[in-house]
Amino acid sequence: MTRNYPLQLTVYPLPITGEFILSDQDYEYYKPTKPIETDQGIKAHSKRGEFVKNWWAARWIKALEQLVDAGRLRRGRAYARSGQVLAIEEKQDGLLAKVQGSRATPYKVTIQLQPLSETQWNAVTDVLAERAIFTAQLLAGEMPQQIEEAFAAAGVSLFPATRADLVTNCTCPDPANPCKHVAATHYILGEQFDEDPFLLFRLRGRSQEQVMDALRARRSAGEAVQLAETGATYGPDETATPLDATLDHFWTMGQGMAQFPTNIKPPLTPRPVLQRLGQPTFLAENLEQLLGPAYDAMMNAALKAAFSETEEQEIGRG
Amino acid sequence: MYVLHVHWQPPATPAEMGGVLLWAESASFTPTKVERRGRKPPLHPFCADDKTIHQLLHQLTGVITTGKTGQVTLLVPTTQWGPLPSPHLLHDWAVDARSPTLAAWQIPGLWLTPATALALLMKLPSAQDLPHHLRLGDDCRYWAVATNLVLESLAQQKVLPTLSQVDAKQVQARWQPVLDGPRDGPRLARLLTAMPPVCRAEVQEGVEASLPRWLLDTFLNTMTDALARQWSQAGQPSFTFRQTEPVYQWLRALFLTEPTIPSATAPLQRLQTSMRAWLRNLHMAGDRHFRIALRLEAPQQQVSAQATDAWVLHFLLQARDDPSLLVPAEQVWQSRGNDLTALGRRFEQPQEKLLAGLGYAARLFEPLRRSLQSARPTTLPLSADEAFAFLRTAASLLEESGFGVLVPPWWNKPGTRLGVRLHMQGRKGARVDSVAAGGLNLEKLVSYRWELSLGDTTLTRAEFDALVALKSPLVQIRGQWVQLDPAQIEAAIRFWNKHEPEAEVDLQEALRLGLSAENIDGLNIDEVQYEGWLADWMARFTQNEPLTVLPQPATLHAQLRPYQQYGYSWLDFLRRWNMGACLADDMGLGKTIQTLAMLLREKELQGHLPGPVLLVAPTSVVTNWAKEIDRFAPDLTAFVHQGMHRLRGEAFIEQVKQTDIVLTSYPLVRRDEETLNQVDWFGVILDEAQNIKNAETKQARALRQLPATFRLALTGTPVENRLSELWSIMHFLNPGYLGSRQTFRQRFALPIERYENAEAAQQLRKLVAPFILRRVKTDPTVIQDLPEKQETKVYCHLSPEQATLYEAVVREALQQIESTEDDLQRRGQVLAMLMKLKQICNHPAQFLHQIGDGYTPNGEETRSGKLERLVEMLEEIMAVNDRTLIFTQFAEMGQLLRSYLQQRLSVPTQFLHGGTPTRQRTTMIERFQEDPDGPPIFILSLKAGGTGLNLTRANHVFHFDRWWNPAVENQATDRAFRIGQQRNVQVHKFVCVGTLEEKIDDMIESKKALAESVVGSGEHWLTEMSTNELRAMVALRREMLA
Repeated sequence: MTRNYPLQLTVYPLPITGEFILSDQDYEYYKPTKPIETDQGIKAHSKRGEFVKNWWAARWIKALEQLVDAGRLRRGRAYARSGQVLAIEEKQDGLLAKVQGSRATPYKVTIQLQPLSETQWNAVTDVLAERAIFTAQLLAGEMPQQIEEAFAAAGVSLFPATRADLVTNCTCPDPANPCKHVAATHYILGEQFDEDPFLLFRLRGRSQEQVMDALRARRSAGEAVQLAETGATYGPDETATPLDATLDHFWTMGQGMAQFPTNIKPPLTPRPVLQRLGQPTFLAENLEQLLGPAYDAMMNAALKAAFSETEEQEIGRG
Repeated sequence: MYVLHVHWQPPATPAEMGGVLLWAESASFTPTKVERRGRKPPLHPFCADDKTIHQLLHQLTGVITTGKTGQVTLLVPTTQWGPLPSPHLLHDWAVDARSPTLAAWQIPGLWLTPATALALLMKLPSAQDLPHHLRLGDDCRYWAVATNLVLESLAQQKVLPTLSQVDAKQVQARWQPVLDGPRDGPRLARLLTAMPPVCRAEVQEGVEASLPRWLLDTFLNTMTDALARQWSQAGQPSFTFRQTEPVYQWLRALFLTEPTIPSATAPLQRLQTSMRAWLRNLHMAGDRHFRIALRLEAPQQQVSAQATDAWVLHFLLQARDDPSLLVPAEQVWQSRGNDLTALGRRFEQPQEKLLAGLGYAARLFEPLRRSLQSARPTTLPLSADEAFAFLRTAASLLEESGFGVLVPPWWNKPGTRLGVRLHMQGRKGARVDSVAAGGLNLEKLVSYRWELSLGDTTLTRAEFDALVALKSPLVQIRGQWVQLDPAQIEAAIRFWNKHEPEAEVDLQEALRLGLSAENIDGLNIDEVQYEGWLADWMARFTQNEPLTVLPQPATLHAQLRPYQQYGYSWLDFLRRWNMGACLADDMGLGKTIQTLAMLLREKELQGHLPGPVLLVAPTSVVTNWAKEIDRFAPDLTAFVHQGMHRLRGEAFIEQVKQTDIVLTSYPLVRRDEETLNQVDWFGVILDEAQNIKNAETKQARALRQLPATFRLALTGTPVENRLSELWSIMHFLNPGYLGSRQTFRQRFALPIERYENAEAAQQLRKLVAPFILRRVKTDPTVIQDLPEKQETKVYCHLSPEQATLYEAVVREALQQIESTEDDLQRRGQVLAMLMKLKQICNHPAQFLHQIGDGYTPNGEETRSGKLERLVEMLEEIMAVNDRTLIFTQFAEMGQLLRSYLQQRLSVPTQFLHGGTPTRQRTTMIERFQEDPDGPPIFILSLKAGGTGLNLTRANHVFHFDRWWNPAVENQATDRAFRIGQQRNVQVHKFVCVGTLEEKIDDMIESKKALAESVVGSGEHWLTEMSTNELRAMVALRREMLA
């Protein structure tokens, strides 16, 4: 089975020849070596099956899958899951990762996205500003569902759409690019978008502040005016009376404790804190289902401790 | 006497857990002076040892601790004599408290595990239920309140599993309380400012004094984590062994004793980063200065259920420090730049925060996504269903997430949901004022009828069905919005299927429905309407309308004061309706006379009482009752059922038939239970009813079983604030009315006493108020009826030990006197005998000279009738925070009283006598008069304190023994009763019944004028008597004794 990839040779710094249209056979020819095991790396949250749950991360990975053969993908996924990616660092113009391979020195992987031009960004910002949900969801840590449409409307793509969009490199001897080390890094990145959707924007050349400033400028439809620094701070000061100034009330509780109601009863909506937090990205199972019984057990024990009692002791005079 | 302290030691490093140390100050021995040598802080000289602490703990909570012995170093206010005791410690040694400084002391104690600490703090009895020898330090109470907060977090499931980096190498899985609700900020702020300084006094390396926030945070976190770990075991998830990744190691570690995750740091750090991103979701509602607020507005009028935009949700910014400052979203969008200045506040990045907040809120309330489709969202139109979903579920979640939620004012008001209305009608033929005694069957006296109500409207079934057909959860009836959600509709249908629309019940059941039930099968009881004579009756019963005041009984030998006349009419009213009543007037307001008036009226009307009345009182007051009946109600026949030779069986029953009132004491009720049960009592009256506060005792059970038509409890303690007492008394008076003791504890006692639930307190008050009449001396209506000075004799009995000693002394002394020829010698012998008898009447320990250095009083009140009575009366006086003077002629007795009362009542007590240095006298007087925490009991020797002093803080004066000279006694009384006294003063003069004290007192009373001249010079006139006269005077009349 042979796959063809629309390679754009110029983009890649490594010499890429026609032989590089890979087949499984070629793959066999490149004898994979066993990587050095490490427990210092970033392990992917995903353990089995589909690598990511969110659509945006899926889009990201799909972009990779169009570039890499199945074998390297599989090995890259295994690397990601076993924690071979040691670190990922954001640089000015892209990402630098260290991946533990079979050699003692970890390989260096770089991943870059083709940045959008000023004009392209302006077009995108115009579209994003039309609907508050983009900003709202981005700020709430979610990638808006229709973000691709917004970029498409501006005639560009947020996710790497063409070979030219994704620029990768690795110091490993594998002549293939992207190699499994790049793939592993790519997978890990897919999960990181879950936590920081602005990462993609940065890779495309705009920081969160830049995007937000631009959006705000459009909302206010005028020039941004810097307001003078004024303002008070609120909130309690973290100081306490020196102990030797408290001698006259050293043993006594302060005022205001006379009526201190506590409300020991079941919650109105079950497990409010987990509901507020939502499902975490780092867990495959549903957290609320997983911890639900534990929460209920705590609640019942607390209610029991608060209200049921063993027979009171006869205290004092019988 | 001990003061229990709880010390929280915060963890020294984040990896540790900190600990709870229980320690106690002890007053049981005089501490020796400690020399400070070297750098190591010395051992605190008056701390209880670990064995004692174990005992105290076990006694208090029934918890047997396995706590490890340990110690902490605390900075304690110290003078050159050593550490100063905390104000709760009542000690006998002298303390020079001038110019203290902080010094470090080693404090020994017991380390408790979080679970034991919780059990201890949860089981601490309320102040009035503490044993006498124990007080709780404020630190103890403080951490108990903080523990309530931990329990609340766990019960409300407001805890969070977290992963925290505790040091460079270790990561721990911890449970944390989430205290960020709208009420939590103010509560935590109160806890922070109210922390007793001693909590911060631990000397730890590099820490001067821990910050309150650090202590409180670590305490809440550690306790929550420990309890969550322990209590969640039953619901622990199971993992396969293959799930070894960091996230599973984290989840596992949440349920293990060891919170540290055994895994390499880097993968965990990554998990931690992910978790941090996840936890951001807790703080999406704004920043420190403002938050996003959502305000729901209702349409002007009812719209069709299909309309999708009639309800409107407005978006705003709300200032945190002043929730009334609201900036509408429109204004936010108009702002330029990073900040917005509005209403004198600066908001940073308001647009982004608003958007971020809305973006997050959309997860909790899906329809918000719609509004985010526009560029500058300001409002969100909603359908009625959506508006209802917002009100019903989203609002509380949003509020807990920190959003401001402004809902229409009617939403939380009662009466905007489906409810029921109860109509009650008294049976025809009965009338408020004319219930023939015993002639009316009080069962099924009330008929009731249910109606369905919504808002102010009563709904017929047809109307209800029509509203249901609107299929809208929010409907408007007569201009008023009400909710009509499916759950309630179902509840209403269920209600109609289950309940008879009309039925009959007895009066007590009707009362309980009317006064307490708020909710029946999921429907609110909106209103209870009483109709016919029952309406009238309820108004009087709940004292909304004054009762008809009855004329005072002709046969009462006293003039009832107006409030007493009302009280007696009230007693009569409740008795006629078979309601057990509790008369809880302050001491000295005349509970006795009101009770006797009620009985006299019945006897006047009927010619006789329908049956005998059993009056149960503490042994020490039985005699007093007999005397009072004699004096005020001689038409009532009474006999005292007491003593070795009391009547039993048939003889008793025969005697009872001819008697109106049988007087007996609490212990005898249990002993003679069988005999007493054979009588059909007209009534059972309990005096000092707080004696049955422990409802489980055989005595209380025996009392409840006595057959009686009416029941009455008398007490001078503020019974409505002492819940265990209240339940027991009510259970005696109206069995079943307050439910079982268990349900009462759960529904009222614990919520009110431990968790300070105002709603429960309000409900209970409503429920019991009609059964309790309590007037206090300071009531304006009462005070004008009271004399400024009120003198009463307190008749006390002799204990068996006293009686034996008394008789022996009389026998021996009279023999001696008889055989003495020399007049001077005889006089001396007479005076010596009188002195001895007075000492015996006071207390055997005084006569036997057992009081002196190193004297420790122990169970002394069983040895003396006077002391027993004094303690009972002081308990009542202390319960209402009054102050009192006690005069005695004897320094020894004063010393006994001081040590014993201080220990027995756990209040500071001071004694001024001839040997008190002048400076100390001044301090004592100042403390008594000025200091709000000063000693409420002041004992004075008559000679040293009888003149000159101004002690107007006291409104009770006791004359424990007698000078037999009214002028001298009055002069002493006037220490309290003089210019500056704002309240009325009650004077209690103690007299031992059957002894020379009573004889002399009678003589003084019968010829007051004579007494002034004859007795004026003291006791010398007694020496003039012949031996026979003397014998008649001093001989013990055994028949008067118990």
